[in-house]
This record gives sequence, structure tokens and C-alpha cells, in this order.
Amino acid sequence: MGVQGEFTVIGYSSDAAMTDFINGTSSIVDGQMFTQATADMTVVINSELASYNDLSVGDTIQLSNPNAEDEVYELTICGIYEKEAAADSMMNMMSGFSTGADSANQIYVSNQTLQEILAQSEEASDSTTAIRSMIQGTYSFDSVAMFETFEDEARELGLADTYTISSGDVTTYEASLRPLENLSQYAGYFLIVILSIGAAILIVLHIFSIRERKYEIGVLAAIGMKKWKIVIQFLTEVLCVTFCALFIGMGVGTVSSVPITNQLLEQQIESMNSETLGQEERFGRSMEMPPQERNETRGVEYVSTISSGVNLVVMLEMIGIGLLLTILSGCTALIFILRYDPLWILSNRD
Amino acid sequence: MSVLQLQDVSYSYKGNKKQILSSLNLEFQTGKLYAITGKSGAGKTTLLSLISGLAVPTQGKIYVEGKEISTLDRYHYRSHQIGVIFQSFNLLPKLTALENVLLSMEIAGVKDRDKISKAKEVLKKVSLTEEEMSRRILKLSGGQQQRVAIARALSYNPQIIIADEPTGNLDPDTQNDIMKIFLDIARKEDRCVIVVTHAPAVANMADEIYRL
Repeated sequence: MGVQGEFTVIGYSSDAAMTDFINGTSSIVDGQMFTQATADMTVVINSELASYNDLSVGDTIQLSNPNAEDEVYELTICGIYEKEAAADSMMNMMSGFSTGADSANQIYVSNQTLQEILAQSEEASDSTTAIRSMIQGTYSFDSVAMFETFEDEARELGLADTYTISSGDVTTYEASLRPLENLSQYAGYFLIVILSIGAAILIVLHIFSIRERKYEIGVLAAIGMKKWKIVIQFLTEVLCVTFCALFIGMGVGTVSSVPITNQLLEQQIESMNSETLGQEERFGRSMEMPPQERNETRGVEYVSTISSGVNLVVMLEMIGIGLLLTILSGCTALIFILRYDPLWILSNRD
Repeated sequence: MSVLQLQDVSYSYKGNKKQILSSLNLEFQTGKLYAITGKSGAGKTTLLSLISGLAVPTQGKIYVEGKEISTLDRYHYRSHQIGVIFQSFNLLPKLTALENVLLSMEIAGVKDRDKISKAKEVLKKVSLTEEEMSRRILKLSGGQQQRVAIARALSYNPQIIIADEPTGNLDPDTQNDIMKIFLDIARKEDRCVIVVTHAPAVANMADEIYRL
């Protein structure tokens, strides 16, 4: 098996694979990143390593094979990087007692430099003592849709169902949306309840309204207005009211939706955080999660504010719902009007 | 030739075996004012309901200008061929006098570009002033409302005009005024005017009287 080294050398085949630097978790504080696709034996080291060992850009360091100490490789520091404290502590927690896994002891090189070192090691040592490597592929996607397409293609190429494909970014993103999704679900149920109650109220109001105007309907029918025209007249009146209500509703909704939603989101996040805290209190420690889930969801920043606007699609949806409710409640008016006999109405006028 | 003809017309209310009207045979012509009289409960108002198409006879037939009323579109008939003046006027209270007349013209499909002028003309014919025309119905007296109801019935020039107790709640002077209007309509405009009344003085002003 061999002795575990104190440093981990990570080789990147492209800048795109260096996701920590892309998403801002790490950044160069002195010097610059090594040039990709060259085996120029230059490295980028952690600022802590540089600080404790009094190293700076331009200095040379020597790395040796822990299983063959006479196998030494000379590398020049071209840049010093710093990692975010939260990400750093997370990595340190994960590393346990392995010094090589400590983020401060991670040395970044180009893939070509790493391949050069591995080739030299294989030549210099035998199979039991040569430096071992592990290949980790990083796929970068522009969108979640592309990630999903990648998954489909990987399956088609023969990836067994026993393997899972996951993306930390996607999982983190989905986790960050959880309060919003919960809120969306509750809002959906609330909307159904409100619409149902609203429809019932509208139907009852229409029935009362038609009863109040029975005399008018009787007179119109008695002087020769056809019943379907009376129905259209009433429906038109209701539609005018509907459009006024829609106009007012959309105005009020546009103004109030964002602050209300943000407040509800805040409550959702508080609720989720207190739930996690409660679970930790009951366990007496943090809950252990499967490594994958732990890596991908710890430190998730929930979406806590939204921006909103009434675009054409939203307007059309609201108009559609308004019209549907109007027609539904208007149908009750239609039934009553069609049933009325003008002679009976006029004879029994209150 | 008769403009309106009733042949063996009978009517009884649903579920009631007693016949309000029984085998009635009547004829009406244009150019005349007819009065229909009788005791209370004789079926005078019912007869007008049958003639106006608001009710359907249980037996017999009614012909209007040679066509059986059951073959006609009753709504079209009431808005084009016959003008009905109800006993309780049945005007729309939230509209003005002018608007009530305009509504009737609209329903009748009157195509005149200047409907408002025509409506005012009809209202002037029944002696309503401009100021009274713009008042809501509730702000008019009984006599004024009666005049508006007459104007509404005349607004689309129907051949037949029926009026149910048009002078019922009016003073004698107004009664005479209203009856003069009906006589003018019948004789000068060659229309058939049928008035239901229980007042002998009113009935005696008619060209023909039918007693139920």
C-alpha cells in the first residue's frame, strides 16, 4: 500500500475544471495561475502553506515520493491562492486526520506537469512505490438542461443504473430553492382554496343579483327582448366588472407580491433552520448525512428574496382565470334567466 | 280584413279546471278603438296576455295579420308587431323616460340614425315636456308614467296597440287626454287600439265595445 504523503498535487487539464476559482471560493492573491497545457513544472500553493514556510512567488519547492525519498521533483511557485474560510473549514472537516487532504496542503499544477511527474516516477520506481494518481473528471455545463442531457447521453452510452450522476452545483442550487418550492406549493394550495371559495361566493352573489333584477328581466322579455340577449347583457355587465377587478387586482398584486413573498420566504427559511437546529439538539450533535449529500448541501444559501413582475404571460393567466370564474358564475345567471316567465314575474312583482 | 282574430279561444290556469276564458271569438280591425269591459275576474287582463303572446291559449287559435300567433317568434312579435301598455306601466325605474323609449326602439331594431329625435317626437306626442323626458321614471307622476308607457308602445310603429286599464289611476282630465291619444292613434294613424277598462265612461269613447 505505501506511505501516505503530506501533500496532494492536483493537476487540472483546463481552467474550466478549476471550479473553485470560477465560483469565487478560491482566488489568486499573488502571482498568477500556471499556464494550461504546458509541463513547465510551475505550481500554485495555498497562502497558509506559503505563510508558514515563508514561501513567495518565484521560490522553488521540492516534493519527494513518500515511498522513495530520493525521488525528488523541483517545482517553481508561480502563484499563491487563498480559499474562503467557510469552504476551507468544510474541507478541513471532511479531511479528518489526513494531512494530505488538508486544503492548505493542496498544490495545484497543470495536468501536463502532473503527467510528467507520474511518468518520471514510473521510470524511477517500481509499481509498488511509484506515485499513485487518481483521475477525476469535471464536466462543466452552461445550464441544468445541458446537465440533464449529459445524464441521458451517459446512460445511453451504457452507464449502469447502479451509478448515479450528480452535480454539486445543481444539488446546491436545488437545495437553495427548497424554501421557495415549499412556499410555491403552499401558495398553490392556497390559490386553489381561494379560487374555489371565490367561485362559490361569485355564484351566490350572481344568484342574488339576478333575483334582485327579476323585474327588469321580466320587463325586457315582456317588451320583446329575446332571452339570449338578456343573458348577453348580464354577462357583459359582469365581464366589465371582471376587467375592472382584474385591473385593480393586478395593480395591488404587483405592488404587494414581492414584499409579502419575501416575508413568507424569510419565515420558511427560519422554519427550516429551526427544524435543523431542533434535529441537532435532539441528536446532541450535527446529523450525519451520506457523504455526497453532506458535501453538496452543507453551507447552502437559501434563496431569500425574489423579484417579480407582471409580464404578458402572467397577465394572460390572470385574465384567463378571471374569465373562467365569470363564465362559471355567469352560467348560474343564464339558468335563472332562461327559466323566468315574464308574465309570472310581472304578475308577482313584490 | 281583420288584423287580429280570436277563434274559439279558451284559457285556464295550470292545474285549475275552471276556465277564465271560454270559446271566445273576436275580431279586430285597424282604424278603430276597441274597448273590452267586464267584471273583475272576467278575464280582461288574461285576454290581453293572450293577444300579446305572453300567455298561450289552452284551446283555440289567435291570428295576427292572417298568421297564427303560435307560429310566430313571440319576442319578435312583441317587439315589432304589437305595442303593449301594461296596467302597472312596467317601465324600468332607473332609466329616464327618454331612455325607456329608446330601449324599446333598440329592441325593435329601429334603424333610424337619429333615434333620440324620434323618441322625443313620440314623447311630445303624448304631451311630455323636454324636462320631463330627462327625468327618471320614479320622479314622474302616475299620469306622466302612463304617457311614457304609451310612447314606448308607439315608438316602433306597431299595427296593434293594447292597453290594460290605461286610465285606472288617473284624474278625469288626464283620462280624457289619454283616450284622445288612443283615438288619434287608431283613427289618424290607422292602427288597431284595444283598451281594457272597467270604467263605462272610458268604454263609451271606443268605436266598439266587447263585454266579457
